[in-house]
Amino acid sequence: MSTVIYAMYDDDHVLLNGAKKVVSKGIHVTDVFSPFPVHGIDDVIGVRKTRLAICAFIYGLTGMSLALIGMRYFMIVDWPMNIGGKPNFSMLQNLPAFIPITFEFTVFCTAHGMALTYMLRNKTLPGMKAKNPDPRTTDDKFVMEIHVEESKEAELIALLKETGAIEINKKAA
Amino acid sequence: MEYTFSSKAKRFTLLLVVAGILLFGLGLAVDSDYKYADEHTGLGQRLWADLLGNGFFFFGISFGALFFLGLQYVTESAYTIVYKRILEAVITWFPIGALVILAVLFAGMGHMHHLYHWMDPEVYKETLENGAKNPVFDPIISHKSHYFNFGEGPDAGFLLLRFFGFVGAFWYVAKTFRKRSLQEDAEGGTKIHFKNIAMAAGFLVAFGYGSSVLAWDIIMSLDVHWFSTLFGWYVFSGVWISGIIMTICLLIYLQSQGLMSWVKKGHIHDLGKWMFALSFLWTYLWFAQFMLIWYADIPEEVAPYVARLQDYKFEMFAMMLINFALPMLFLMDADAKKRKGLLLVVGIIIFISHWVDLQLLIIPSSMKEGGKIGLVEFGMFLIFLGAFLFVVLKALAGRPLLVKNHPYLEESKNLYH
Repeated sequence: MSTVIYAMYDDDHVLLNGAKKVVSKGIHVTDVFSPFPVHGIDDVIGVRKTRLAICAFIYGLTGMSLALIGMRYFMIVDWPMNIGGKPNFSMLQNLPAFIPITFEFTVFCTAHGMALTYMLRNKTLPGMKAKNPDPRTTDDKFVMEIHVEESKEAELIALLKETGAIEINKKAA
Repeated sequence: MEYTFSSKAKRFTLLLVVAGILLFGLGLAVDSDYKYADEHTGLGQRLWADLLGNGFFFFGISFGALFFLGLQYVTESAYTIVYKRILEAVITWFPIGALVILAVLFAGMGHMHHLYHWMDPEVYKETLENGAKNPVFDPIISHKSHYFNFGEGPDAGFLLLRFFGFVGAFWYVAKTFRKRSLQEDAEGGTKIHFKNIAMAAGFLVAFGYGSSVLAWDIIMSLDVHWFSTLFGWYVFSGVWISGIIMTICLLIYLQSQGLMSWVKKGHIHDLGKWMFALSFLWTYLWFAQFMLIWYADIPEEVAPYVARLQDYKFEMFAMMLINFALPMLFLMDADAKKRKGLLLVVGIIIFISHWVDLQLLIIPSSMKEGGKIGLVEFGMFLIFLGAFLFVVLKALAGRPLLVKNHPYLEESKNLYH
């Protein structure tokens, strides 16, 4: 039987030092909820490096390919149009004219793909129920989430109080 | 901690100059029976064009570093403070680079070369003295006679006024920044910091005009019938990235000497980001200029591009691909931007490639189809590089490598990335 402890702080530096202390005792901090990015917290609590960049690259590549394939079909294969006398029979010779749209479509796909992936992964898509333990973490408070065995609960709460937590809540896991 | 300009480093700069002279001489020997385009574009013209190309490139590196330094003051950035002394050393080449350009301009006015078509006074005269039509009269240049200094009346000398006005003002700013940096070390406080912000803000406004005007006067007017409104930014983006690469290389060199231990991975990462981002600024401007002209296809606009695509196709697309694809493929990953070895290799390659880019703005215009980027050009590049490094390292050795009493010094040392 384990419980989830939510330790609330009102200052990001106190939180950061507190997290360092807790981690140095060998306790795993599951998550930190904060109204703004706290510099250095990911290294302290051991958040894995984001793989969003890899997704972004794949989305960008998809966008670029779609744009090029699409324009080749529209402008070269299906209905070649004479625009200002530009070569309309060859993709390669007409490439400079296609670059701006390719660029825009790449950015479009990357941006939307990243935003959707990010929200899906965090379960924050529109309409999803908010998961943060305390609405005050969207204003000016910081919350540290720790899963702990019931037997070690009292010890942990004492430690958290010592690091400057202003409020401690618990929930059955 | 101070950097001492060791005899080994001195020998290296000397070696660059000697290697440059050897390559230069070898190039002259190889090209001794080279066929130039016509009697105006012979060997003499080629050497003047190379002097301009190399002079402007290294002038631009100092200029880019000066802009970057001013930008840091205005934005009150902290992350560059720990290696600010490198930027302050790079800007010491500024007056020397300006002198080289001035020498080329004066030589042109003395008709020692024909780089600048508009320096020929004959093209402004509609009729000859005997009343007949002047066969070399050029109405387009003639309309611009007020802008160039060959007009009659009060605007004569306008060109030199622009050159001396902007370069003189920028030199003054560079000297003042250098002077105040030491002054701040001695005095402390925030007074100098705020004075620097005010001066840098004024400098950036002047720079906005000056960088474009200098690029038009010195480089764009080689093709006097052609103009492009974004030309100034395009030239500037190329020299800015060259300045950043020079800073990175000097930083890596100093760290390899066991100095500047306070420069952490985060600082290197930031410089790597600049190198990455500026590559795309340059590519964007290059392509924006090329695509609009290619698409509109107006004869007087496409002429310089036609000349380059016919006779310099390989150089043009090779340098374009290197400057765009190399940073994109190798520096996209965040970890790659922190790796000094990779930054150095990619940096040096695109540094040379940006040099080729600048030569391609000058050589096809001044040498027509008979120009080439060969050993002569590269030899002169090495001579300039050696001299540049000598001046910059000497300036670097003269003062402590870390500033004291700058308000953002602590923040900069504890940079979080």
